[in-house]
Amino acid sequence: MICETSGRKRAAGLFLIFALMIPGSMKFLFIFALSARLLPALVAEKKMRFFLSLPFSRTELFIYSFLLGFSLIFTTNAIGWALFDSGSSPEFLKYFIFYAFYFGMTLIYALKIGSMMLLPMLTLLFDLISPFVATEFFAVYSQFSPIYQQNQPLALAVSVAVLAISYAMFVFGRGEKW
Amino acid sequence: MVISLENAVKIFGKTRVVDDVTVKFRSGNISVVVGDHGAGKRTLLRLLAGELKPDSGKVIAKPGTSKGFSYENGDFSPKLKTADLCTVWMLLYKNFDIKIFRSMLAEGGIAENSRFSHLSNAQKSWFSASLLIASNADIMIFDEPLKYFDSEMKIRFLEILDNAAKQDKTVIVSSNEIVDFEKSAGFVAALSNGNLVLSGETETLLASHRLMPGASTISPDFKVIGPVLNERLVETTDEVGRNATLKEIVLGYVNGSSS
Repeated sequence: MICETSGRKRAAGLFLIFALMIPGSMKFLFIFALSARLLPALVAEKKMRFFLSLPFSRTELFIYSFLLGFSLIFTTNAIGWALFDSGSSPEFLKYFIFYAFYFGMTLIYALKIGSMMLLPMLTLLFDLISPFVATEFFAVYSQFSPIYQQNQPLALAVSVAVLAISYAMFVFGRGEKW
Repeated sequence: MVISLENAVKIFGKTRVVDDVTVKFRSGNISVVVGDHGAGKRTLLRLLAGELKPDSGKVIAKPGTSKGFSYENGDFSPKLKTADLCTVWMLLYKNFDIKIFRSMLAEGGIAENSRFSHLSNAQKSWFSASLLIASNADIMIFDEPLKYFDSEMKIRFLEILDNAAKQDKTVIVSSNEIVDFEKSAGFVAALSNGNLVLSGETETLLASHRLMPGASTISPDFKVIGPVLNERLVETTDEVGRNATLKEIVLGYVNGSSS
């Protein structure tokens, strides 16, 4: 079914766009919510049947969905930076790394076990509390953690790898659950 | 335009829903995929549409071929209006013909700005099929299109399908019942438990099968296909027994595959 656009959903969408403009760590949560509402939601809510019956290939659906989120994050970040935070750097790469990782991870969960939010939320929770797990562990994990990104090139590589795996699973996977 | 499956297998859990099926669908006539509930018809159509990928085997279509799929009573959000869906289809299918679409809506008694949820099942089917017909896609796949139609709608819809096929479109429909397509099917593929038990041009099938009384002695030169009530379907061009209808041919093959 085509996504419904009830008043409640429209309001939630507008709130999300506004929230993505506000600088600060909370933005990670809103990017997470956005990434889960794109292609992963269509898979988990079994709406792929409809979209694949239209003249879209799986690759196109993946790319369009990813780019939709990316352009939304990029635009709101740019507006938010210009309005509220123009003194500091806009940190586009930081948010891209986080978005790519969670878009990919949420899609993998949706494809493999049909879960949309629970496991991705646990992954995010683990990411958030990783500094409290063990100092030695965090010293390594924080290098490529999608939130902490101590070594940004490494974190970017990990995010892109997760995204690539999700792409391969979505496009070439055989165990469709839709 | 041709679309074909080559040794296609689709497994759900432990069930081989489509089992090693090889079949070719051509343009120019209506192809009917027939079989009982659970025979694998819809899965086969979903493979053809590209919605599912075969676990092994291939789906072959010319690159760049446009395809469309119409579900038995649509699969759209109930809140959407028919005009919204028309707008989406016009964006997605560059050859979308709004005149055909409007004329089909009028024939189906559907207002252009109706909410999808306000339509009857027959109207939903008709609307969904109208979108696909108007899309002018090269390959049009209809899942159980006649299920909710009354006799008059069935006749009219078969005329529309026939016209589309004559415009070199590949028209593939699924049905539990071949009877509705007895006069219009140009090609038949019958499935039973995921296996393709019969495929061929209708004219050839009708010319090469006869029904023999069950108790009669059948020459070993004739290939016995399977029982049809009290008779047996045989493959022969000889003038023996009586002519078989398309339904009886399908039944003979389905029964023959399970006996």
